[in-house]
Amino acid sequence: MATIAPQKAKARRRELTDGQFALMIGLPVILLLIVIVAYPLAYSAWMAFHRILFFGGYRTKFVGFKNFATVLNDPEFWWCTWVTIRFTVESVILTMLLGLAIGLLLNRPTRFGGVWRTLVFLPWCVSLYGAGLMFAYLARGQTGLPTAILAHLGMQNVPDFMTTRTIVEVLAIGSSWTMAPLVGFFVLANLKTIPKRLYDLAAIDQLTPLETFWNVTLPPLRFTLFVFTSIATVLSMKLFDLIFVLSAGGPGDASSTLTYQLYKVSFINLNLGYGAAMSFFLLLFIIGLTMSLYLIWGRREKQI
Amino acid sequence: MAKIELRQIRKSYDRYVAVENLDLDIIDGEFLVMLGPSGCGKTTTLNMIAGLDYPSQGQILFDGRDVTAEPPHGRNVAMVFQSSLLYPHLTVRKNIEASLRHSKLSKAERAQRIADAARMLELEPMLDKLPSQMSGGQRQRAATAKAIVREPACFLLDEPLSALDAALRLSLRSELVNLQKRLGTTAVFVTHDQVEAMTMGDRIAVMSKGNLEQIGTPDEIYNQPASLFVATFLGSPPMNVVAGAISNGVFHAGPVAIDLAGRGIPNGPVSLGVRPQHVTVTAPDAPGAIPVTVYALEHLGRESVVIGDDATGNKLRALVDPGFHARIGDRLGIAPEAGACFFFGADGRRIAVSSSPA
Repeated sequence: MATIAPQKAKARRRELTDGQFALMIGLPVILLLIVIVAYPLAYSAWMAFHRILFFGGYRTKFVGFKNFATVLNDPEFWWCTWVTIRFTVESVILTMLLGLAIGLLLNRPTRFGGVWRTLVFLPWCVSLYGAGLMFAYLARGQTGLPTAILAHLGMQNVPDFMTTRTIVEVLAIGSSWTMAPLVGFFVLANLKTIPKRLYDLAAIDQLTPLETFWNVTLPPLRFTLFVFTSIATVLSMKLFDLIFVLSAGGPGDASSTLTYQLYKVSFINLNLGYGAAMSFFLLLFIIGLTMSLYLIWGRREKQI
Repeated sequence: MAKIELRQIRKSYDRYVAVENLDLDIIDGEFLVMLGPSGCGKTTTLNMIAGLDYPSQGQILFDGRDVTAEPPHGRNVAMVFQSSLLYPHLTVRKNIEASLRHSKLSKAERAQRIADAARMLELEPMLDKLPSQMSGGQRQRAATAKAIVREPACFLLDEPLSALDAALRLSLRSELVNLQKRLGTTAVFVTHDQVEAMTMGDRIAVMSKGNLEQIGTPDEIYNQPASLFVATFLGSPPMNVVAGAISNGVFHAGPVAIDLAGRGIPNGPVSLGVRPQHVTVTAPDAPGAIPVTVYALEHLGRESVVIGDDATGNKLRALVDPGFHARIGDRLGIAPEAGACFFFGADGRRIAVSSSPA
């Protein structure tokens, strides 16, 4: 007994369990996420259930689900949803096709390959604000690119693309112009992993160019294409700066996507509760769309 | 099944010449091995036979028909690539089917051929597996099955066994030869492994730096090497080479003197080549023996190899009985058997054999 007692007194320094250690090193990030994600999210949830008034003194009033109901009965909201979907579909398809084309073209051995790669990558480095200004100039009748080309050919036409009928397409082109290079570079990285001999195998098997593309080139790209389709979908649905600069939701409300409408409702009309409720519908759409993308497509893809 | 003729083939990339003036007749039904170190032009030649690459000059004939400019699908060749390349996202069955996609066979015939090939190569249980789910040997069998279902004019094999482990290589070697003989299809097999070449080939074409050094049966290549390159590239342990000179019809290299009178060899520098089994280990000062310092002793089980450095640092090898004892640093003599030496001129071509080797 006497020999055991001193050992007990000299108890080893307490070690942290794995869970405690993980919590310790994760704490800064957790705190940061609480500040920048959880708090704003909770605050907007709170706003969505209140009527917030600024004029005649700031006051709030709990209104339950009234804001959500108003959103659903608002034709303006459904119009903006339609604009958002139209813009997202066009922008994603354009981004992916352009990205695929960039990747395939850059994969060809060419002179000055490094220069081409740098030039092609540059649009991704341009801020959306700058891209918005540029595309506004290009699409506008007086300063636009088509006008310049036609004038050069001796015609007097002034084609204007900043119209209610075409403004969404202008936005889609602008947004895919900025996003496609990144997609292109990931596609290129995947293309570089394809063994050259696989193309020889396809030649021996007498596959047509289309079959070769389908059986040799595409398989290693499919997972990347799925991931970037999802990313491009989310980015397109929550795109704001480009629209703000390029068209400001106009002409009229022709390019008023949900994000732009949210901005208008919340920060111009100062209808914070209503705007917050609307933002939850946007969140729902984004989650719903990416989930269905995963269920329809992503589940079947795995990395080879 | 086809006879393949290469006529004066030359292939260059910009200024680099990959294959130079190659004339090669591949006999219908034979198993021809193209052997050489990397960069010797053997794979380039195979690609040109396949139609994956086109010669800069020269002609390729299949059964007398000029196919020089024809793409692979005009030639009906089947190819097995290095590390048994398959489409990674397709199952074995689909991979084999891809070979037949553009054939005019009926559905039933295709299924029959795939079933036959799968049975022949014992692939039946893994037809629905992906290449990544199979072992190297199974992938090799799948690639072979893919090649044989086509019933091609010839098989072209580009180092298909190089990525496999030694034991598997050994068993697949005989399996491939057995299969080729049963089918009777012409096969061209590219390798840098001289053991593979010796064991598999009906004939071996040895290439070096874009040139065909020699073509012949394994026996001819081994016992009548046309050049110093062929002599040293084949055989394990490799042939000993001793630099010397001819004067008045007698070869001299240090203490070694071999009479080659009456063969009309002019005076000048000549290399002697002798295989390790045709030398005797003697005392360092024995007449006719080259004194060496033992560098290493390698045990092969049935026999051992003594490796010694001569005065110039040239390594000489001798096959000895497994009971032979020597320590590193010991002084020994290595005496070539006068009757089993090859002599090579300054250009590397063989100029004489001292007599027919044992």
